[in-house]
Amino acid sequence: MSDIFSGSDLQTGEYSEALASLIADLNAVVPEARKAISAAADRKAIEQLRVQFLGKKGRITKLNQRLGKLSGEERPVAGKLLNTQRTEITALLEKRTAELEVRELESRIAEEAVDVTLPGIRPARGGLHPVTRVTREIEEIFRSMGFRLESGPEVETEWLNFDALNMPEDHPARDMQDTFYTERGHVLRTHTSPTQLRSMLAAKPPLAVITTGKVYRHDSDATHSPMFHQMEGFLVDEAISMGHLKGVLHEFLRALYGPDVRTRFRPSFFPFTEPSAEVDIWFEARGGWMEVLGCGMIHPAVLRNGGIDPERYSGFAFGLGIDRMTCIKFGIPDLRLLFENDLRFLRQFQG
Amino acid sequence: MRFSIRWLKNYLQTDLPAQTIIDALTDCGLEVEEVLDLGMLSGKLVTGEILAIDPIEGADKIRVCTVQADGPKPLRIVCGAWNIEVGHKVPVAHFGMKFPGGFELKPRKIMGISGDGMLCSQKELGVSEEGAGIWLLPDDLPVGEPYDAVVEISITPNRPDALSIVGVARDLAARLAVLHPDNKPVFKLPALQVPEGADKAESAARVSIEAREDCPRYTARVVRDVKVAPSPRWMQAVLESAGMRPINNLVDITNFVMLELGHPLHAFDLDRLKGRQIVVRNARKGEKIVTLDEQELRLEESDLLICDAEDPVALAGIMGGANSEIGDETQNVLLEAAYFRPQTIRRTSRRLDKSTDSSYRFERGMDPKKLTAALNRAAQLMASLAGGTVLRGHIDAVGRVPEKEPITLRLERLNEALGVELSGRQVTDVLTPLGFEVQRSDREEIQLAIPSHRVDVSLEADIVEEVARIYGYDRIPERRVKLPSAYHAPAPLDRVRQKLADAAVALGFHQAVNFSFVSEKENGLTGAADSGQVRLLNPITADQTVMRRSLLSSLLRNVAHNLNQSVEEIPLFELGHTYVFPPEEEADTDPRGLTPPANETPYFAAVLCGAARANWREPVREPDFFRIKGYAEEFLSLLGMSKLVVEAVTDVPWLHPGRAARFLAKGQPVALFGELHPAVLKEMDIRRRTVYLEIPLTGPALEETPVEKYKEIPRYPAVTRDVALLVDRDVRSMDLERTIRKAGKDLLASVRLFDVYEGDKVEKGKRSLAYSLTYRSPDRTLTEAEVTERHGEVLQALEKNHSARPRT
Repeated sequence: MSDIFSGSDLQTGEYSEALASLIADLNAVVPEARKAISAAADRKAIEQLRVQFLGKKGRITKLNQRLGKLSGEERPVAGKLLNTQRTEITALLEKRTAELEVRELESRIAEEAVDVTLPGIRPARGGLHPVTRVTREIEEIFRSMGFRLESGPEVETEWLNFDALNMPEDHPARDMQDTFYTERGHVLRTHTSPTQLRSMLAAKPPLAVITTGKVYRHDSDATHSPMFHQMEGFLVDEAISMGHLKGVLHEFLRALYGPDVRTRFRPSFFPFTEPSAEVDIWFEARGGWMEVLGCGMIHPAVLRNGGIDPERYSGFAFGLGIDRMTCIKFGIPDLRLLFENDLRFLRQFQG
Repeated sequence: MRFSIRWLKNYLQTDLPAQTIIDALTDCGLEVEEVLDLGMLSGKLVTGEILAIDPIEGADKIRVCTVQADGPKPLRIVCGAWNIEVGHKVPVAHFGMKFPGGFELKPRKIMGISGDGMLCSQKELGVSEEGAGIWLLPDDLPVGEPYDAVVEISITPNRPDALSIVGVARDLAARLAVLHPDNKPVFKLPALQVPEGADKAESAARVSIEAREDCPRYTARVVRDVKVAPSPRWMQAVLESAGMRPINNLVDITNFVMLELGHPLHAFDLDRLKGRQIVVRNARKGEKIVTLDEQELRLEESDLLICDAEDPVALAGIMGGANSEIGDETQNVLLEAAYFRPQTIRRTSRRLDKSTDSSYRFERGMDPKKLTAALNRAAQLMASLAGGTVLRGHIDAVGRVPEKEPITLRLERLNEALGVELSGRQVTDVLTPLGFEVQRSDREEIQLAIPSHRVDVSLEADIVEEVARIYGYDRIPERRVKLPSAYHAPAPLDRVRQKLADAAVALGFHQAVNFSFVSEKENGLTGAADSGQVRLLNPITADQTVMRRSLLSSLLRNVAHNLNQSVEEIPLFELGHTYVFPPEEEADTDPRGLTPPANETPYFAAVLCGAARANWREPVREPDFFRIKGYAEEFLSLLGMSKLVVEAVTDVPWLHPGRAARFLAKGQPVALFGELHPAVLKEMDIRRRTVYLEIPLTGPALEETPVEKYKEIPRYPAVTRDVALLVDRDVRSMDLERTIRKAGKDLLASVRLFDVYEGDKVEKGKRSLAYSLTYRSPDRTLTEAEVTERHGEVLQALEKNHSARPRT
């Protein structure tokens, strides 16, 4: 496009000198502009060029002023030509601007690159105590199965903690649960079972209740803590059998340990249930059975103490040590770690 | 209870494999705790006989034995023990035998001789802690048989009858008969024939009971002219397998009979009993006895004693006295079998902290009807093993021995309780091997006589358990429960606890769980000692003597611990109770005794101490009053509490009096927070600024959060004016804000404090508070003039009420 004006709109040889000189100047502007624009290094330079060529005192404007010296016939021809040149230069400026924008963006992006391996700025998040996590999991399973969550006091009467649960004084079973006594002759509950009686005395069957909470025994070493957490549940209705007990607990263990969990119910003894059982689950990693639950059919004497006629109603109860389960779940070797509240321990549990 | 399977098979005749027997134990409630394989399970340990012992050239500590074991050819085994002789029966381990502790026997050369196995000691096999030298086995053992397996089972407190090999065999016979109906084992009691001399026992000694309540029956036999010697090896092996140390034939016999039949016996040296007389009586206050273990015990009137004509000779059911002990010179023996009231033995044993194999059994309840059988068995053994002459008859003093009533079992009840469908025949098949006798039965009921050894059986439910136990828990089919399908909304407290815990975690706090007991000193941080503290009678340690009445001390203890571990930032929260006794006169108001003995108040508490650089970009922020106040606002707003009133707190001694406050909602305190008093921190050994917050989860905290109602989003633009106010230092921000709101009226949409300055750029005693005021109308775009006018009114009000001047 070296020669943008061929003069074909006019008959050859008929144009004036003024026009000829204008055309010559016009033809010189565009190549000059193209050269300058393509050399522009930034948008400031572009802006200067815009002024230089298209501004009020720019080259095109000045050429435009020379139109007045042309004849009426030549003027539109030259005017048209001038417009073409102006459009051309405008386009060149725009194109170059776009190019420069891309380049500027590119260089900005290049400058803005960060070391992506620097650590992210994380909001501080804490964590639930591992015992709380296991407790919630257990509560959720039983709640979804239709059990109601209740709680009871931790400073408890001897009657509710022992006698009403079929553990009279001088019963060897009381030895199984070494007890803290208070100055006023009450006990720190040794298990969550007193809540069972409180629930029975407060409402009529059918009853399906679980309790979780702190319990206390006079014992302290790597596997015994003077305070620990228990979950206890019971169900009382007409015609409840040991088959139901097995069904409910197996369902619970499936929910907790997966659908393929292998369970074993074996006879045991608790004063407040009869028959009593302990439930083991198979731990493939250890190649052995591990005890996870104690349970049984509620002893008729306990039902009677709870104001329930054992001839009409029957029920089952079960309990488990949440802390031990927590230790198993997270591989915690010593129960005492749970209650030191060392942040180097607690920070490991943020799930 | 520990026993060997080889010994068990004397009472349980069966060809079932040892593993089957062991599995059946747990099945029927005799939980297997540990199994020591002595060859019976793996075949890797057999009985061998030593044929020759030869020296090894160049070795003076070891010899090589030629041993006949289970192979066709004798084995050559290098051995460093010197207690063996030709003809001894010994345990021979083959390669591949696994010893307790994980050691597996592999071939190796000793002094150039590659032996064929190893002779074992009791210690190596895990049978005993002691046992120098090779374990010498009974002479009559057949050579080449796998030797044995030792099983440790735990017996629940309701089953004292199973604290004997006969009791274990009886349960196993019943259970294995169910599992293998075509190959039922035979339960066999030892044959009893006591050769008696001509003289009557009653002429050799006298027995009388003074304490008839505590000792319903006391029976004795007399054996004369015994020779004290080691007991035979078979008996020693039984005792050793059970974890007991053999002493001499007389003592070993009493222990053996206890392990065999369950009943603890005691043997007195008759010649050392003054007056050749036994008197069973309660101790006198302050009376003393020196027991076999040479301990002097001070007694009380509730303790039961066995005495001779003058002195106590045994602490009944617990331990014999040193003064009547069997010794090497003993010639004549008085053998005691008695039934003591379990509670009496238990009380004494607990008080004196003296538990023995004997007391363990008596306090759980022995069979009151098997005294003579046990005595006769011991007498028989003393005649055959110690060459004694058993005098004719028993010396028997009888009080009131408890009798067992028959029990009627309803079949329907049984099937309903277990969820099975058993016939009467199936039920009696299970029960009779246990010693229950059918007295009467029809299609609905079975009346059963209860064997005297089952002290735990007195109700129909007890029989149901027996049936389940032997029939097998595994055979009870699982069933689904139809639960009442009512929805149980979580209790308000549970809901609130969960909400707070989740929010605290999201805000960076870690949950602590602390013991509920603290030291008296720690409780003293938050109140006076006498105000209803729940004090423990028997604390475990001196710093856990009272139940906490604030979570403060526990959390401060955690802070101190973590600071000691160089943890830089300690953000902890806890959900727990505080415990206080109500005034005595208000306690136990419920006639049914259901009033909780203590007032237990649930709390949420959080503590913040120290600061770590959270990351490489942001500065370290030490916690201060405003941080904890912010958390308090956050938690309370989460609980739906608005319109909070803040109130400076100067009367809580453990809080910094200038940096503590509480929030009130509807006039009730709902949160207490602030910086801890420096003196308290020093007391707890904390050298960093620490802030604390507690919210009682009662009253307003538990109220249902009102649901947020949608308000129209503003449609017209807002105009914001910032103003920095110069005020006297004691002018409170809250009051300035109140004035701004009041004067800004309907056009003031919000006011926000964005800067507080105090320092060189303002005059002393003054400070500058900068607020951003946003003006907006819900129904039109405000004009510049309107805003300027209203803002001017606000500034005037500030000037008038607080002498507040805009800073330029």
